[in-house]
Amino acid sequence: MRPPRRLKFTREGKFFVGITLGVGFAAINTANNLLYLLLGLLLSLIVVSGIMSELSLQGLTVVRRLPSRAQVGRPHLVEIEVFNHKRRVPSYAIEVEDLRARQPADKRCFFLKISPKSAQVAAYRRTPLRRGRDVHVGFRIATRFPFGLFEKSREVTAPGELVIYPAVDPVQLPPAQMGHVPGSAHVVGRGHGEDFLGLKLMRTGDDPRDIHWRKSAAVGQPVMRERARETQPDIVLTLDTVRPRDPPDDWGSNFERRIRDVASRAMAHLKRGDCVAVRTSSGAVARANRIVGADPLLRYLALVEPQGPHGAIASVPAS
Amino acid sequence: MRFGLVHRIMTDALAALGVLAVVSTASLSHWTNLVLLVGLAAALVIPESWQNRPALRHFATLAPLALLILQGGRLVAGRSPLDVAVEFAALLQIVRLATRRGAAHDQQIIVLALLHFIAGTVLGGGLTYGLCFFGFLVVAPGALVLSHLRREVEGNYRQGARDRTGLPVDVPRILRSRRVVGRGFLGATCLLAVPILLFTTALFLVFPRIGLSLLLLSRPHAGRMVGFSEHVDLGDVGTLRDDPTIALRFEVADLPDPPPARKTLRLRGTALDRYDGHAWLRTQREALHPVAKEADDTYSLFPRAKPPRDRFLSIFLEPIDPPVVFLPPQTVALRLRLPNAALLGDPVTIQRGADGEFRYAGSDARGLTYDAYMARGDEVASEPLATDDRERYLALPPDLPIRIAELAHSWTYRFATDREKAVELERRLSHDFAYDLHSPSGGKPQPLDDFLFVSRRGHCEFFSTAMAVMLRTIGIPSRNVTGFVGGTWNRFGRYYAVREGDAHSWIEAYVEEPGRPASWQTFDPTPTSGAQPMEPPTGAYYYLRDFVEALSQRWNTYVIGYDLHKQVRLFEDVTRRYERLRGKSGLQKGPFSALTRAPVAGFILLLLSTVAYGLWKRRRGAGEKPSTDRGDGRRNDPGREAIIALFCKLEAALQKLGVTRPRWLPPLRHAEDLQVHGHPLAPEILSLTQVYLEARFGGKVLTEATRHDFARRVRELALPRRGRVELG
Repeated sequence: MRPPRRLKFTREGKFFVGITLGVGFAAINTANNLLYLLLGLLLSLIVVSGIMSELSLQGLTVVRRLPSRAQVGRPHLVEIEVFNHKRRVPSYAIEVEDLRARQPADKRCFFLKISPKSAQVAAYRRTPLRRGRDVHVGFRIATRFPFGLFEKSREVTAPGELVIYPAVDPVQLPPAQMGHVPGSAHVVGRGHGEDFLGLKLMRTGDDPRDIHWRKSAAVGQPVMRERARETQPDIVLTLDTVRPRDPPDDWGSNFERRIRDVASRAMAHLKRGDCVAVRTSSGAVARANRIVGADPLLRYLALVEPQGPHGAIASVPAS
Repeated sequence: MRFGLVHRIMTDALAALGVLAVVSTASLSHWTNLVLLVGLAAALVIPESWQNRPALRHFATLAPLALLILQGGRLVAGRSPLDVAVEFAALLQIVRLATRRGAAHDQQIIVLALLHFIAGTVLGGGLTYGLCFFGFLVVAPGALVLSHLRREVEGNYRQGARDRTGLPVDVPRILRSRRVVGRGFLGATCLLAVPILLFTTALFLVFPRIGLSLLLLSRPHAGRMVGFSEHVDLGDVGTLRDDPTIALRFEVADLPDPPPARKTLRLRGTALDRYDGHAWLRTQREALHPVAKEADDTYSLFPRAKPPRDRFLSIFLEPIDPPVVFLPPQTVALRLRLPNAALLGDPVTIQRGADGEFRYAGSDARGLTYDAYMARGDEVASEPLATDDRERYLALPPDLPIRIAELAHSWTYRFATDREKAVELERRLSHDFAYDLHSPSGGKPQPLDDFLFVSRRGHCEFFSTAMAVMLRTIGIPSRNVTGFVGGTWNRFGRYYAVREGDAHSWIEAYVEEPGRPASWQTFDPTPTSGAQPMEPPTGAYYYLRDFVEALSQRWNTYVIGYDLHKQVRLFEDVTRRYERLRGKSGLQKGPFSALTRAPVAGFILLLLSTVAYGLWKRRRGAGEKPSTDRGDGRRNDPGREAIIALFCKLEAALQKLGVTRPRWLPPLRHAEDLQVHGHPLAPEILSLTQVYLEARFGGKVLTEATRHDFARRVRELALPRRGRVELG
């Protein structure tokens, strides 16, 4: 089934219909044939308007392209692509509204002309105000073509989701500690640390200071020492997600502020090269490092919700 | 074609048509029309680049206010509100045309043009209005569409809409663009005039004509006709001789083929009974009595049992003042062919005046169409002369020179009967005197005396005056009659056109004939050259003039004059033809006779059309079924899916290379940027991107070979290389 159309009068349309009714009344009253001619013209313009607006709306599909990541307070672009499947008829003056769940439609993209069998892309800029899931439910495709008298629209379902990361503030951290702390290191691979990992044949470009001479003599070829990467311990940041039984009025805003603070510090540590783990009071842990990137951690912080006093331990969302 | 330029031209055309429609009604004064036309021309030639000049902007602000004050003052001074309103709207249009900036002003221009056409219907729309209306019908769809698009561009793009790169859109660039409006677009919008015209015509024909007349807005036309009033000065009628304005048309049945180019037919208007030595006057002005209407809108002008219906003339009289009914000789009855009378209006009636004059009256008395039935040659069709009136028709001016009576006596003393005397006077005047439109006797103290004895030349007024006065001097009652003589054939309209230049004057004398009672008989002493209709001119201009006049007459008859009677006749005619068709095809009998009756057939046709439309829509929807929205709105097109998948691999390879494309940057632009920055892989990336775009949007079919080649090249791209350059 094709989605139903909605028809709405524009301001010009109301005037036009008013004039048409006035001319009609005058025509019936005076039997002036010229007024009948005018009435016929005005009514036929209304009919033609309906047909052409329908033609313009038909055969269109809309695709949304969301950015890979978005953050509170930082604008991002959402691309809207409209494809006109009609073979010969272009679509004019198409307006696409991106509909989001539980939010008023405030973002529109306008397409002046979409040629047949081609697409047009437009983008709108949005600055999210809250972290979490931004759920897109569909589009409202509207046009006031051809005369601007009526607005005809239809809605299509097109779900989409964008996770809005919490805002991050610049944080100055103290200089990193060098050296190895026993008991908490994680070997993460080859590097230039002090630990001995193994031997390998020398290749062009390797540092000759790492040649294991004794083994090289035994093998008959230059053999290199393989070293392990210097490791650092995880930086653990804690986040209290348990809502007290009678929370104060500003508990919610404080919670958000804490999330923002944790995110900011996590990003600062990550930039410094540290491994970061965020542990919540409910027991969930999210980790991030330079190799994996900040996404898993920020995603977790975007989606974390406060829990009740006896809430179950929240599982770490998949990165 | 540039969007902005085409839009401007179409809006200008619409505005010009509206102003011309108002001017063409000829209801405004000549000076007003001149100002409007000159102002329109000036407003149209003002270049768009001047719109931002301070002087023009001040003019845009102050001129409407000044106009409002001026027209308000004229209204207070007593001018007609309708005229004041129409002039104000027309002048405002010119101001707006000259000073417009932006889509909002363009829409005001379109609304004002529409109001002008509405005003034109009230002021009276002739053929020129019809042509302007047709032009409006052709231009309006395109102008409305472009105006709407411009408004959308200005409204959307100026409010912060962005293109795919996130940058604000350049509105002037769009207005200069040639890609929005092409020949196809213009052709399609102009072709919209066809369905609009068809629908307008259908509605015009079908909508029932009932005039409630609750609020009469129409204004009757009136043109002053010199010579058809109660006072005629010798020397005034002749100046009409060159006026080609049509006064009336008449149609004659059973014409030979080809019809004669001219027809000399006297159409009697008014009669004047008193001559004061310089001018003719009517002494019986208030004597108007209604003539009783019989069945079928017929009026018997003289008492008789049954007026003949075989000899008649159809006359189409233009609105003139006074509203005199012009009748051919021997008219005994007339039948009015009236448009549908307004429910609450005054019906048209015929009134009899003194001196054999007939007039019409009524609230919708703007011209008249009637059939004049004429008596046969041997019948008498005139009112008898009452004894009280005899003196009126024998009265002479007190200072009439005696020699005029002597001349009349010298010409007629040999003849016994009044009729013979009248015939002789007529012969003498028409043969012995010359016709001269610029009569030299006009300004003389005794113009008639000068005509008869000095100049011996003059126009028809002098001849008729001479004969009437001379008849009175010999005791024969006579009166001066004014009207029209004959007409010229219009081959397009198949009627005879009688123009104001055909105005003529002759006399009626009350004479007896042997074996017949005395009656008013017509005599025309004007020489033949002056007693004929204007010479039908030849040439391309007059050929075109005939065509335009015929078209105008058709317009007035079938558009302006389309009424309930014509509507009913049209439907009856259509039904009759349909029944004839049924009869010829044998459908009137048999099993299909009930189904093929007109109303049933019409209903079945409508039903079938609706069902067919529904089936067609459903089939179109089913045909598009595979392309339903899958949440992301993508179509199940294998080729498209494949190229998108390949492109995703390319993007992944770019990411590995460290040259990830930002989401907001289109693929082609990204590849071109790499080229600009000298990336070693830029040519390959650009080539692959172009293949992608051609397959996805360009309609190029993605073959298996292309697919494999694309995948191979992407794999090679992803292989590690030395000397990699990363973009910052």
